[in-house]
Amino acid sequence: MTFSIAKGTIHALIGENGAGKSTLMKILFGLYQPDSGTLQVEGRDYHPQSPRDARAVGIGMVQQHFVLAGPLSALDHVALEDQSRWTFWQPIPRSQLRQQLEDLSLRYHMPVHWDAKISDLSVGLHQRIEILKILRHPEIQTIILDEPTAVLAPQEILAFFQQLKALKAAGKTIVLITHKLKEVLSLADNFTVLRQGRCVHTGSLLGRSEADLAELMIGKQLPHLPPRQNSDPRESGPALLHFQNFSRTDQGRHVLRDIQFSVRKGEIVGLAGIEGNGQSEILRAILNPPQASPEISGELGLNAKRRGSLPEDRILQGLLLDWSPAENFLLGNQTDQRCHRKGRLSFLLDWTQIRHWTQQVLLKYAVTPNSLKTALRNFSGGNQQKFVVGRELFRSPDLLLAAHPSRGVDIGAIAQIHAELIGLRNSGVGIFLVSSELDELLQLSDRLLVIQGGRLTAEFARDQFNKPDIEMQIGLAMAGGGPA
Amino acid sequence: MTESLFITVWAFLISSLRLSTPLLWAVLAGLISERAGVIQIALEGLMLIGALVGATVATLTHSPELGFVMAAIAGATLAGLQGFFVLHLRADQIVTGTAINILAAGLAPFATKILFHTTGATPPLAQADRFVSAPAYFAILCLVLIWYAYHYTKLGLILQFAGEAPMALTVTGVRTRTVRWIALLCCGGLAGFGGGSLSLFLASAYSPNMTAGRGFMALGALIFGKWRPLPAACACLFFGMLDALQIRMQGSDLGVPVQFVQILPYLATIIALAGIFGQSSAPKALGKGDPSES
Amino acid sequence: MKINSNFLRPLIGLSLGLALSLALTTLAGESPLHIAHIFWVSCFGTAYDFGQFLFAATALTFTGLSVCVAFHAGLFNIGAEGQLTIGALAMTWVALRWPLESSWLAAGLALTVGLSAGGFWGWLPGFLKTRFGSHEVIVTMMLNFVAIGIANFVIVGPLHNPESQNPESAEILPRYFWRSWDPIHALLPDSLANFATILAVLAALTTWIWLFHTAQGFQLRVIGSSTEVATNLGLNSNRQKRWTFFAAGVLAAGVGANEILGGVGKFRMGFSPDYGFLGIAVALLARNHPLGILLTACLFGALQKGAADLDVETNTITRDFARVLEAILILSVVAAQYWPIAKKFRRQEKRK
Repeated sequence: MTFSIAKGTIHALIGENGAGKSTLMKILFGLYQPDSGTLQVEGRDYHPQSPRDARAVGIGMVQQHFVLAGPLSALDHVALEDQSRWTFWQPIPRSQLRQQLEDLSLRYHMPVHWDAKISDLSVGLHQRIEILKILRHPEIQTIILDEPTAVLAPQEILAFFQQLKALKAAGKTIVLITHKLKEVLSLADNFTVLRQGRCVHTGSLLGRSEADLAELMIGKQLPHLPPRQNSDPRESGPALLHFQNFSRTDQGRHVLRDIQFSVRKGEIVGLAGIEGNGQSEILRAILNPPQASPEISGELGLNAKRRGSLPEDRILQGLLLDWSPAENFLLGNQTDQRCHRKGRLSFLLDWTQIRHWTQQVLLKYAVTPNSLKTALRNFSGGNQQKFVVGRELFRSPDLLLAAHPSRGVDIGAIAQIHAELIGLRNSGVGIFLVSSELDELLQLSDRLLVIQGGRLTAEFARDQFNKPDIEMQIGLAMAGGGPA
Repeated sequence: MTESLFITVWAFLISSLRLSTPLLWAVLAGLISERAGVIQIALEGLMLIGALVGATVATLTHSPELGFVMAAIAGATLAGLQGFFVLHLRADQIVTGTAINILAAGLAPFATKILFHTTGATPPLAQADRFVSAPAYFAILCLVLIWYAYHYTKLGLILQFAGEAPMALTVTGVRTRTVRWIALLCCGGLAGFGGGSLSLFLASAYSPNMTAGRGFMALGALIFGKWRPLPAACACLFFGMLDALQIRMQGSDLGVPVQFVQILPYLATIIALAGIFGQSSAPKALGKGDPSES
Repeated sequence: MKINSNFLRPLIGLSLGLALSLALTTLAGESPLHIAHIFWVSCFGTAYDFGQFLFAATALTFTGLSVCVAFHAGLFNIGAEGQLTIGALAMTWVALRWPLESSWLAAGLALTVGLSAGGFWGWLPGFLKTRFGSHEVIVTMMLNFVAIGIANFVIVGPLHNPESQNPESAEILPRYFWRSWDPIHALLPDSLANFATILAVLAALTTWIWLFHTAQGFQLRVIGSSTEVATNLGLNSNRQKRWTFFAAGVLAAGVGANEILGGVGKFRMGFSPDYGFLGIAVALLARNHPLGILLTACLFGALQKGAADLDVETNTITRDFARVLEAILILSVVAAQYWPIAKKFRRQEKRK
């Protein structure tokens, strides 16, 4: 792979999941070693053995998953970075450090509570802390950011863009690893596309469009989604799922307030919002209908005989990575009659049958590796997701809960999953879609709800989606303003 | 009247402090290990070995100080074995800890039979070969040192990070595994001191199963104190008071069956654990030998 | 789950561990071959020996299953010792205080009461864990001590044997004692082996079928693997965990049946040579597979019996040597299990 990054520019590194973007940058940052080839910084050869070497040359990196520890404070993290400066018995000069950091915050207009516990701060602040940690070292001229906007709300993203532009104006070079093509176009000067570990294209962004970039990323044109059949969901009978004035408190705090919506047959209801504003609680309430308790008020009705769920975090919630595909297949299907023996022994599982069904799913969704012996850990993100989809659909659910279905999945598989969802919708399945990708929501939903602070702050119908300022309106609602 | 009451209370306090000494050592040991991210179920076994070695060396050399030091070394050695399994082989920490406990419980009678031809205890030590008060003072000194290091120096910071977010440590160039090794060895040494204080200070010999669950009570005190040095030490003192109470009540005629009094400390641990002081403050990386870092 | 590595690696570890332990005996001045010979004879020498070996293996099967079942729910049951004590205590109490004419009724009553009592003692830590988040390792350990205290009080007090100075209970009423109809006892008359052996085998089979071939057992294993996945499936983790701990207590209490109702006929303080803890080793060595537990329980039963004979036959080795053996075996198996995993990580690190 060969390409170069110009000084003082914002350079975007784009590619699908598993294309090698993070790996490449981790090599640059000294966390991994290359097998062959050379790296050069400002004309000089560069062989980093550790992050310290990278920092010595002026390269800093903010990882996608922050290495911040919950109960400790941001100040503690900075102190840890400097730990080699002090001896074992010296007390750490906290007030001195704090002063330095406050000055830094002031200079870059990025205020932070340095003594607050990390777990009490928002994710946006976490990112700010990570960036400031890098800016602390004036010799750092190149900053690598790995998927920085994945966890930010539209407003925070705008502020973040301003900060990046300011850093560029101050002479820093920025490398942006991202899969958000819109941001690439609005922010970066040059770009490099990686596909399956190869550098496919590198150059300026002038005159490029999103479609161009997408095509370069996957190597072919995106398949089109199947057409939506028009049908009025209201005529299809009682709602599969409905919330009525549903509220839930947790230790005195409202986590959900007056939630009211329904999902009917043959429609996709989308829920937009910044993570942590109540989406998980809604999903949890549907999956584990709560018993009557003083913490619950309102009504939650579930009318679906069979339901499927694509969980928010498929690795954590949907799969047992060290178990075999057959056992993972059984998750959710363990009471299905087709997985049990016949007749008097029907309380026993029939593993031969189970393996048969698993094989079918692997084939139908083109999941690789196509083997019943490999643990799920060895499947890629996209294949895991396809497996989960296949497993959930085995039950022919009436209601499907899909949470962040495209997270960590490559574009090709996303297209396949989206097509599957539209197909299900057309055949009468009700789908409740929770996502942080606005594009995905706008593409798939018949109706779009917005949640903020445990409350539904807006609802948009599909015919409003092509209004020019729709994203701004949604963004406002995600931050708490906007029409109720 | 008040004077004799004062004397009784004072004697009770002194007695409590004495009795909580082994527990204090164990709690400090557990604190360091668990804060670094290694679950420490083997405190019982580590203390037992310390008690055995301490008593054995003191019997053979007539020097309690040497016995005390050797007790710590023995504890550290056993902890080293634990470290080999837990840190090098990345084996399950609770399984390994349980095995270490069983090993210590088996080795002790094996050793006493070979060395002293007895059925599990070491011969009683003369007064001159035992401690009068040193281990208690030493334990308090260690408590103060650890408290200072934990809250104010970089040692404490690195320790906490090893247990909460090992990745953060790796990025700054400190190897988490090294930190955990050192923590484990220190833990073994401190637990060894605790065992030594049992056989050389509270009692006058090693007797079978003399730890009597103290290793687990120390864990209870640790959880009760949310894995922080001072609160955990206070919990130890509380258990020590219960122990002192239990001993006093055995002699008296309060109509309470002896056995009930004996199980008071164990009940107290259970009740303490059933409080709101649950697992939420446990170091986040506890028990997860994070494979992605060295 | 691949069969080969599940079987081969523990086997390798086991062999290494055995070799290491035998080598250790040279420290005590004994010949390893002599030791091995004593072990063999002690289990299969005579019918009596075999019966005693079976008696120990039965108890270990029960505690092994107890630990195993809890383990599959993601719980560590260190409290089998206390659970079996309470179960045995309850059985003794019923068998002394409730005269009945029918052997069947008596057996049924004693079993029901005893197993439930053991189950309750197992349910307690389960309840405390799910309700308050208390660490079950510490709670079960503490409950062990509490159980011993209670047993001490009851045996030395109300249920004491008036004809003896020993800390033991009176002999249970004849209708409760299984000897009169026990087929196993008829086969091995001089030993303590009894019908509980059959119960143990049945328990192992039932546990195996339930865990690996029913939907409920599958659900339990899911709960034990990941609470998040279980929640996502709508399973009630807490309730299952409590019931599982109850079941673990019931299984451990089977030792009470083995000892009180079938074997000895009275409660002797300290009758359990740490069956509860050895159960942990039995379960671990069998990789928590119920059928494998039958094998490892036999292994450990042999160790127990053999070590007791070692005590008699040699000058330097006591019955506690069995503990050393067991610990070495556990560690060897653990090492064998984790060695390839550790190698893989070291290879990964070198690449960086």
